[in-house]
Amino acid sequence: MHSIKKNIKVKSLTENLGKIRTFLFGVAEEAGFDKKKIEEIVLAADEACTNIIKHAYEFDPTKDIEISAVFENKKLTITIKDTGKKFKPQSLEPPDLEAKLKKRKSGGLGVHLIKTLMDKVEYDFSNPGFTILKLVKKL
Amino acid sequence: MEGFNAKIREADGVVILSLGGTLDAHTTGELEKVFEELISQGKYKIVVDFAELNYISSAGLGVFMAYVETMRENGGDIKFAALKENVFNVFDLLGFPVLYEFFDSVEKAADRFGEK
Repeated sequence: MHSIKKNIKVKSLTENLGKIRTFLFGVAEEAGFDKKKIEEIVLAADEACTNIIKHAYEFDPTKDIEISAVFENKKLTITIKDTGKKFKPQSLEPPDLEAKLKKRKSGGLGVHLIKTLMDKVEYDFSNPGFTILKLVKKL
Repeated sequence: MEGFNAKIREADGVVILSLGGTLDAHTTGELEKVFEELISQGKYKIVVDFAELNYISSAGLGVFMAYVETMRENGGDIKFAALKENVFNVFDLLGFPVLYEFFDSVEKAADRFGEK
């Protein structure tokens, strides 16, 4: 059975977003996803990590973002762990985009994209020390 | 990783802003500087040429959201041209085509300013 398990740990810096995208591009390509799905996976993870850098860690560059990617049973599961502020997305419901565009507020767009691009999105805030975000994409 | 670049040229009172590379949360600051500079020069009619832009995240879209009203309040606009499919998809998923104009070429986008 074709399975993959890889991890990466980076400091909470926007300059590391490229490293995160390259890592997930490699995993998704190896898993056999098509070009469109690879782009969706990479963008969803970028949005999730951007939110962590901005909102959970508030641009503290000493903090870590840990990402694991597991591909098995034709399913890629990306787990992203941070130890920052519990950043609860206001809601996982689609935001009123027209109102946001008119008010020039971009907050929440990332979460909306993540939800749209992935097959399953789960935030686990149950542990006091860290937050786990799980993103699933089916082959 | 590839970087980001922005080039400006002007044609018939319209600024053509050509973007290249990757526009994510790391590179948005560079684009913000360009828009600040354009506004300080009183230039409000902008066509963004996306032909060489390979990647965009919502952080990049946030820049356009932040500046478009200023352009419109001053008789201009930000129009979007020549987007690659993957880049357009991000705008589309976030509902931008309702409030912004997209064109398949820079020329068509620039001509639109002349029609008004």
